Order: sequence, then structure tokens, then C-alpha cells
Amino acid sequence: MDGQDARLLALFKQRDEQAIAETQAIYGSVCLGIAKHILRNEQDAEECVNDAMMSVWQQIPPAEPQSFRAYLMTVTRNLAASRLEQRNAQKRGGGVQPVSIESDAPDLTAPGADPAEHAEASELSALLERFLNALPQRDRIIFIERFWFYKPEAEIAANYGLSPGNVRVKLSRMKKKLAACLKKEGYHE
Amino acid sequence: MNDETVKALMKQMPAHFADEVLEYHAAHGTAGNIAAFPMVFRFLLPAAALTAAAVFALILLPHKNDEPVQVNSHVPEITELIAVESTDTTASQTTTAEASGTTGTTGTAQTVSRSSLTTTAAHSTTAKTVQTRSANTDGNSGGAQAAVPVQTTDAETEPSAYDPHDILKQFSLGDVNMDGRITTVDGQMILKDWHNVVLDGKETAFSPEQIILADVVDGFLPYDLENPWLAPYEELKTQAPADYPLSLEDAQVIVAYYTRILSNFNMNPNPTKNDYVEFLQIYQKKFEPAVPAEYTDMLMEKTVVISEDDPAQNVNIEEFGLAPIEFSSIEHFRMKEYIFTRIGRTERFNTEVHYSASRINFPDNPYEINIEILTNNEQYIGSFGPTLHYESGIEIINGKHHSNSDQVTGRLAYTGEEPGGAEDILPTQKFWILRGVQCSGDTYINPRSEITVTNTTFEEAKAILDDFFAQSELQYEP
Repeated sequence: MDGQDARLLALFKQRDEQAIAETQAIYGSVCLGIAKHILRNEQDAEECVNDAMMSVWQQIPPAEPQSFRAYLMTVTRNLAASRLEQRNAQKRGGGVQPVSIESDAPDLTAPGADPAEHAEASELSALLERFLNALPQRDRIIFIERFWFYKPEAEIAANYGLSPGNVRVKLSRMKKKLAACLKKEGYHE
Repeated sequence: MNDETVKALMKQMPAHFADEVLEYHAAHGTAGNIAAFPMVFRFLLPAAALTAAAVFALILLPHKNDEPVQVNSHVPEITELIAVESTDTTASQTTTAEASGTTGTTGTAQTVSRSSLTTTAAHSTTAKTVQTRSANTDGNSGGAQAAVPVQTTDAETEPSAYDPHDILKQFSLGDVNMDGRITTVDGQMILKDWHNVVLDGKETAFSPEQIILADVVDGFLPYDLENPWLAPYEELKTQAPADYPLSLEDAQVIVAYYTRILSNFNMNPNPTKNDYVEFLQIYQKKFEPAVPAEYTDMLMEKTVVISEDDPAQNVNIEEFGLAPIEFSSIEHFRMKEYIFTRIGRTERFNTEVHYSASRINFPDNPYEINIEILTNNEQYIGSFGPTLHYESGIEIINGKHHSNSDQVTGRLAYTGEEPGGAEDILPTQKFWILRGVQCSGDTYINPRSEITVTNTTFEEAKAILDDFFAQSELQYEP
């Protein structure tokens, strides 16, 4: 962790409210960008970032992330994704979430996670770690940008000098590999 | 596994990977932030990417494989293609390997080197320059080669288990059926998979080894860079119709053509009837059963003209039997590509329109609903579904063309980036749903009857729409 992040972390641990202001100043735009990409709505994104700041404030301490920046981004991303799911569920009318492995997977950043759920989430996390590490770096980056940062395929294609079709094929293949990994570990969609 | 599942699953991604992405971009000076990419670059960069790919191909391919690539005579291989058509991965490997064995008895063969293939594509309007020689002069083409054992796909679960270098030591790029030769069968398999994945949004049927071998088309598109707007089917016309089914070279040209057509549509918000017909012509050469040109013209004429003059009659498109599916395939292609390039963006979704029984199939959804809407007696065609990105601002291509800011003063339902906003449609606006079509994959499931709603408030219209969706879901049969 660099000095800047260490200092932010220290502020959080000291319960110094300056921590939030400084985090906003340093990482606010990055977090806002992540949230906007997922939520596609400026106001929702801003609210999401505020929620993320609050969430981090509540979780640190006791949480001690190894990388504060990555931790903050993860909190933001997951909050935005959850918010998007809720929004879509409302629009579908029923508000009923589809049952699948992901809906059971707890957000590790959520406080008070059930130990069993936490264990399963840890397993999934380890599986993802292995899966992602097995990919060539650029493919890994593409995969993460698409499914973690919610970048559109066309944007990814443009950034890497690939055709959208090519990106789509790559992603399809990687998804297939991931599905195989999950199946091998006993997960079912 | 669909995209939403993966996105949800990625909640559990260890945080350091997010860091890696930022650091990667910082190190490479690329677009590390996630701000929206300027629109213009999204149009230009694919072309640049193709340029780079072609240049790369020019540099790399001549050195990549010194052995000439054999392209067998097309006509005798029809039996192979029939075999390939039916297939899942394992079956196709076996069948095509057998089929390839039979083609070894073909009397003549054409041989083209990779360098000539690439060079031709880069500078001429001719599809290919092949050197024909008798099978007797080519020790490899005269007889059947021993089939190379097909590897199983068990190791798929370990992405790191595949080393492209090892595979390429055994097989040549493009030799997707791993029979030791690159033939029409390989080209068809590549194209079929490309179609499955890119156009239909299905999962690839290839094993990881096959994927590595298929990258010859995936990454290196022969492309006429000097004249990118040349109608590519003219290149294909250099062959007699009997030359079809297609060779690997044809496949490459067609892939390039798709890309070009897509670019054309991207840049041209108002493609003409001729644009469509051209697209149909090339499309139907590839995908049998081919609809005769006059039939295609009739379809286009009827569809386009009617949609301009009397949208309600669009439902008559069914009388063409097979044709709507063929036709919708094109729309499907356009929509799909467009949605993929636009979904999630904040720009107005202002160039894509479909005007009748188009089929929308997203890989993330088992089906989609397409609804056509008429407001205020002005044709205003929008499409939206449970998860379809929709914004107002659609311009009509083949209908009455107007901007949303003039005649259509209110937004249709589902404004904003995600469906469900729908705040600002005029409460008293007339609101007709002409028809919806429910589709799944390649199946044209359920043409729906007309629903007419007049003088509704927005809330009433939305309730009817929601009911429509709910009914559609109930009627969905995979």
C-alpha cells in the first residue's frame, strides 16, 4: 500500500471524518466513474459513491484492506451492482431476484456476513482468483473490465484495437472457461 | 452462463484485480478511466483495429507457416458441409475428420500460400489469386491423410492447460478439425462458430484447442484497405455459384465483409433499400436455404414500402414463410451488434430502427420482445424489452422520418438508460402497440396479434405494456 492509502486508512482507523473528505478528493472520480458505468445515471452514481464512502467508514475498522484503493473500488462496484439489480427487479414488477449462485454469494464487504456464506464467498473468491490468474493478462483485463467495471464491449474493443466481434468471442470463450471451472468445483447455475 | 451471472459472480473477485486493471492502463498509457469513450473513436477505432490486424497479418503470416495451405476444390465438398451442419463440437470433430478424409480423393486441388492470400486481400478487388495445380504435384493433396486424434475437452476446466505453442506444433492455424489439412470444412466450422458467437450470442462450440486454431480468422481479417467501401460480394462473384459452399478464403472475406457492413451501418443511420438488398445477397449466399433474389426483392419491397405507407400491414410479412426469418436475421444482426455497441451508454440511441418482424436475441436473455409503437398517428417505432437499453431519440429509417424533438414531443415509455423510467411521455398521447414478436434463438416463436390502445394516460399505457410483457413471459417456451 502506498503512503497515500496508508494515510487514508489511518484516518479511518482513527475515526477522523477527514478520511471521507480526503478519500472523496482522491478517489471520488474513480468511484463515480465506476458507479456511472454500472448505473448509467449521474444522480444514482453520486448516491452510490456516497453510500460507498459510508460503507467504508462503517467497515474500517475492523476491516484492514491490503489495498485501500482496490477495497474502495470493490465496495463501490458492488453497491452499484446491487443497486442496479434492485432497480431492474423493480422494473420487472415483482421485485423477485432470480435464484442463482450469484444471488447467494454475499458481498464480502458487507458487515456481519454469515460465516457459512462467508466461507462460500471465500471459495468463490479463491476460484475466481485461480481462474483469472490462469488467463493471459490482457484477456484477464478485458474480462474484468467487462464484468467488473461493466465496460461495454465496444469500448473495450476500441481501447485494445480489437473489433467488437473479436472482443465478444474472447469474452464468450472466457465465460465458457469460467463455467467449466465452476462446474468442476461443484457449482451449478 | 450469461453476462449478468458473471457480473454478479464477479462481486467476489479479489480486489487486487481491480488494482491490476488500473495499473495496467497506467503502465500502457491506455484508457484506464472508465469515462465514456468519445463516440467518434468508437467508429474510427474498429477500422484502425482492422488496419492493424491486416498489417500484422501481412507481417506475421508469411513467416508463421511456410507450408502452403491447401484449399480443396469446393464442389465435391458439399457432403462435408452437410455433415458439419448438424453438430456439436465432438460430433463435428469426428464427422468432419471423416469427411476430410474423403476429400482426399478429389482429383484437383488449389493451393494458396498464406502470403498470397493476405497480400491479395490487402490490395486487390479480387477475392483471391490461387494457383491451381494437379494433385499429383502436391504430395499432400492426392490422398487422404491420416486423421490426427482429436483431443478431448476434459482439460477445459483448466484454462492454463492449453499452450498455443504446443498445439501449433501439431496443427496449423485454421486447421480447426485437426485433420492435418486446412480445407473448406475448417472454414465452415470457423464461420459457423463465429456466427454462433458474434451474431447469435451463443457460446462457442469449439474446444480450447480448436479456438486456438480458429484464431486465424478471428484475428487476421484479409481486408481491402485501399478501397474499404468496395462491395465485397463483388469479390465473391469472381467465383461461379457452383463454387459454393465456401472455402476458408471465402469465409475470411465474408467475415471482413460483415465487419465492413457493420461499419457502414454504424456510419450510415439511413441505409437504403439497396444497402439491405446487398446485405441480403451476401448473407444468403452463406446461409442456406438461399432465397432467390427476386423473392428477396419482393420481400424488401413489400416490407419497406408497406412500413412507410401502412405500418399496420407489416404483419403480413408472415406470408413469406421462410423469408421473415431470413430477413429478421439481418435485422437481428444489426440490432445485436448495435445493442452491444450502444448498451450502457448515455448517448442517444438514435440510429437504430427496425420496422417489422425483427428478431432480437440477446445472449443475456433467453428471449426478447420487440414491440412496434405508433404515437400520435406518426410512425414512431421503438423497441424495448425487459432489459433492453432504450432511449428516446430514435429516428426512423424506413418510416416517416422525423426527429423526436419535433413531431413526437413526448418520450415513449422506458426512458433513460435502463427500461423503466418512463416519466415523461405525454399523458394524453395516443399509444398503439402494433404487434410484438417473441423469439428465442433461431426460433420464431410467437407472432402476437395486434393490440390497440388509444387515448391512454401514460400510466394506463404502461400497465398494458407491463401486462404484455407478463403475458409474453408466460407464453415463452424454450
